[in-house]
Amino acid sequence: MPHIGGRPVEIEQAYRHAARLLRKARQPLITGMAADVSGCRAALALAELCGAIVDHQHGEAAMHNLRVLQSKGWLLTTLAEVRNRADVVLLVGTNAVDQFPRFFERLVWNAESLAGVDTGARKIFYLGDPRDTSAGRSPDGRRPTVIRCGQDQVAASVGALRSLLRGVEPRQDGFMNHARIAALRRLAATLREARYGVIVWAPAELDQRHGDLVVHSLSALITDLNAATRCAGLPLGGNDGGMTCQNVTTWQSGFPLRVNYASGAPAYDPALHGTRTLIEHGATDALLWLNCFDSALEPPHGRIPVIAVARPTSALARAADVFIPVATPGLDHAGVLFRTDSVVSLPLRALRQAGLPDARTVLDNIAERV
Amino acid sequence: MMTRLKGGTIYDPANGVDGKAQDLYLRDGRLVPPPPDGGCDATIDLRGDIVMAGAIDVHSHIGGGKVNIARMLRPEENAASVQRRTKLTRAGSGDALPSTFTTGYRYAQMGYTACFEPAMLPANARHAHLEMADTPILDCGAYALLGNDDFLLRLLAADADRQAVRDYVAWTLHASQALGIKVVNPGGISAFKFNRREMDLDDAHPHYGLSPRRILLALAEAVDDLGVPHPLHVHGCNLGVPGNVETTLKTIQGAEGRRLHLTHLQFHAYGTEGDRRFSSGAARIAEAVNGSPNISVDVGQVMFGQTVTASGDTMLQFRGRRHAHPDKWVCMDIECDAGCGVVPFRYRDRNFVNALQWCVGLELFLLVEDPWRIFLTTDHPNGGPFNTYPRLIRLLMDRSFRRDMLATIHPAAREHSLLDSLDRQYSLYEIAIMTRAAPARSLGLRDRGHLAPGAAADITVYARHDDVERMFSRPRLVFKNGQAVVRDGQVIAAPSGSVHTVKPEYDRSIERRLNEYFSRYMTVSPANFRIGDDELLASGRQAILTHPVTAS
Repeated sequence: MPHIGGRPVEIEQAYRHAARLLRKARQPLITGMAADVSGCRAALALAELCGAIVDHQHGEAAMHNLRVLQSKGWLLTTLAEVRNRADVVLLVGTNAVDQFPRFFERLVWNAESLAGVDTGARKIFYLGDPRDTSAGRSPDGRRPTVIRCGQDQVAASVGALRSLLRGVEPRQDGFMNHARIAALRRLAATLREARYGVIVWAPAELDQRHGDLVVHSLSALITDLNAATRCAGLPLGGNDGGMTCQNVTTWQSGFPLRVNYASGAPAYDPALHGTRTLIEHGATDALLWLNCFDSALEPPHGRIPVIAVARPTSALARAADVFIPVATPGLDHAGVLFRTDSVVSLPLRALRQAGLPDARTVLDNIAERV
Repeated sequence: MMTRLKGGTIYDPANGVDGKAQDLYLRDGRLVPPPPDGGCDATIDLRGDIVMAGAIDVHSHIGGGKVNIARMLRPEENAASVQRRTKLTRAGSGDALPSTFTTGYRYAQMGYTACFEPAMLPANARHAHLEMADTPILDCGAYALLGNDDFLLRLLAADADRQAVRDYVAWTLHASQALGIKVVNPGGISAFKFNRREMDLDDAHPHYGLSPRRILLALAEAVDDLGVPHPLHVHGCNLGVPGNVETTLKTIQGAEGRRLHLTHLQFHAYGTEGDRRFSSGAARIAEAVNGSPNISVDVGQVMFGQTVTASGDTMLQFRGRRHAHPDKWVCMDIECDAGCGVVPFRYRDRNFVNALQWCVGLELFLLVEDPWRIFLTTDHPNGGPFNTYPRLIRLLMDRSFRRDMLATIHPAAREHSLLDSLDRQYSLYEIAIMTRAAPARSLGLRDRGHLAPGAAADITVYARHDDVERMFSRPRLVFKNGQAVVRDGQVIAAPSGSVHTVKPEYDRSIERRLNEYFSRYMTVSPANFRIGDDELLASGRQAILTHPVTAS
């Protein structure tokens, strides 16, 4: 049941109250954005109508990648290419399986390759501080190589790797000692001799303050390697509808996220329009939280009215000013979601009848009453 | 409701009408014969106006992965040109890379009623169709990219029979809901994944051993066997490489009479003469095209200014990354399917190479004789944004304007080009052929591109103006399926368009091979790879229009 101020109400009342809150607000924010294509489309239409900013709950992590894309660019690959073509895989600041448990099973230790790669002989490297590297062990028991360092030392390590590739010795210090340089030198040689190296990172797991520096360095490393051999990046992320939100927002507005429709036209400002920044600085006065997937995730706290379009088991049912329970794409209704590598989108099917409206229905109804 | 469009000057080349004042009658979205009793519910006075069928863009990158990557890469580009929402229209941004709503409105405001995405990766088809569904007013469709996908290359390397190739091509058309088949740098995008940096027509693929020529012919054969109306749409080898005029001539000769459509031909028409070792090969190419009735082309004209090059040709885009302006770019290897490369670019009239590229495109337009076989494109956004079409039309129709422009470009480029000596001026009739009648015929859209009874009422009305650029920029009225959608440059209605497809019959046994292939090598199931009709309609298309194949 929908709620207003923690009390159950008819859905019509909830729609009207939500619309009123958005109408009254001077700078509303629509965030969370964990939805399928139709949910994202409806959210953008609503944002345009009530002059809102649109951000995704994982926007901060996404910006690590987007800042690099927008200033430098990169060379990337997709899942089937990794599965068939990679002979060396370097995981930077992630073990991949924490986010994608089947990463190695589906993409690394697969039986056959279209490109004639001996998949069992793939060389695996970790750079960072991975919790669990057991998935990196080959079917015949060969262990991966781990070059251990803190998240805040990853950037320096990648920089050293780039130097070594160019034949320039990194300066030695307490951290970049002889043993570390030797290990990085071996990694550089392996990447240079690889036929198709794949470098994996997860923006959400990088050091939050300097994540984009790491990504920038990786992009430069990949470009360096492509002078003589083939190498490509694979960023893992876009969970909770992140990749879907980014794609839909881009094709409909021209910008990937953190777009403000207050003037009626899309205004892009990734620094100003982040969810946390807006709430902490009191720069938004109403928030619509959209999350069709995970009931545990919530918006940051702030003293502003919250309209929650979320799962029925969410604690927001009692805490939000307006709460409207919503269906889950791929369970309760058909839809489309983009995969982490952004190129492939998958059709989701309805598996059950939950009797809840989908995000599009809810958001369209609110929009009609704004 | 019967509407009469009274007294407009009609240019309808498909029906031989060359500037004749005539009435048109519309009912239920179609052109109909004059009512026997003469009764009409509404009359619109078009006396003095020029009337043509709605324009059709046969090659424009309007939707899909690489276009969206290009938008993400260039927020500064999009921020420079934003559009506010109105009661009728959604907000948007961009010139070279307009967001989808803006794309639809702007094309319609220019008198276009249909637009075709030329390089849809089957792995990315769902995304491409979603973007096209968010492109208002226009009918859309796309050509599915083949020729670098490992499935086909394996099939050909194993000497699979013609039937298997045919069935796979047909399956792809169905699965990706496409209207035609495109090939980009045949075998070359795949070869780049194996670290090959160049690939000529008769080189052997590093893994499969096939030549681009072999791949090209196999696909052209399959397209013809299946009776797909549009010929194989070819982005040839060596795009942008000085001296590629030889590759293009060999490709034309190698077609051996088979139908081929050579796209953005301007980028494939360069010689190596002169002290800068860059010259125009347009005259030799035009001569070959004129002598080969099986060949159709679109130009891919360069227009000076800032744009983005976005193409499936990873190999050549990676090579060209050093010319990126601004200095950033994206390349991607994609799903054992194909790839893409996005490189921002600025064409300068004072740069010798860019200025000569501009000349090459115009030379092609003026030297290819048959307007039924040459289509007006800038390979949007690669040569320039589609909103430069009216200026391009003026360059073709107005010789003195063309000469004035020629006088402002790099002087050495001018000297290396024939352009000054070319007097030809396109007539309105020829423009109508090139932008409506011919594209519709080439794509097999039997009820579009013309104005005879039975045609869909996609109609563009231009107010006469001495300055043809002005005339073509701002049609007075545009009808889509009989509904007025643009008046005096303003969008007055924004219905959804339809998607055009072709679905030839095929032997389902190919699906067994595909199921096995997907299960061994791919990361999605064939069921999820396919786009169903329901899905396409649910995403917002008005209808799926499936055109008949032609009997062989």
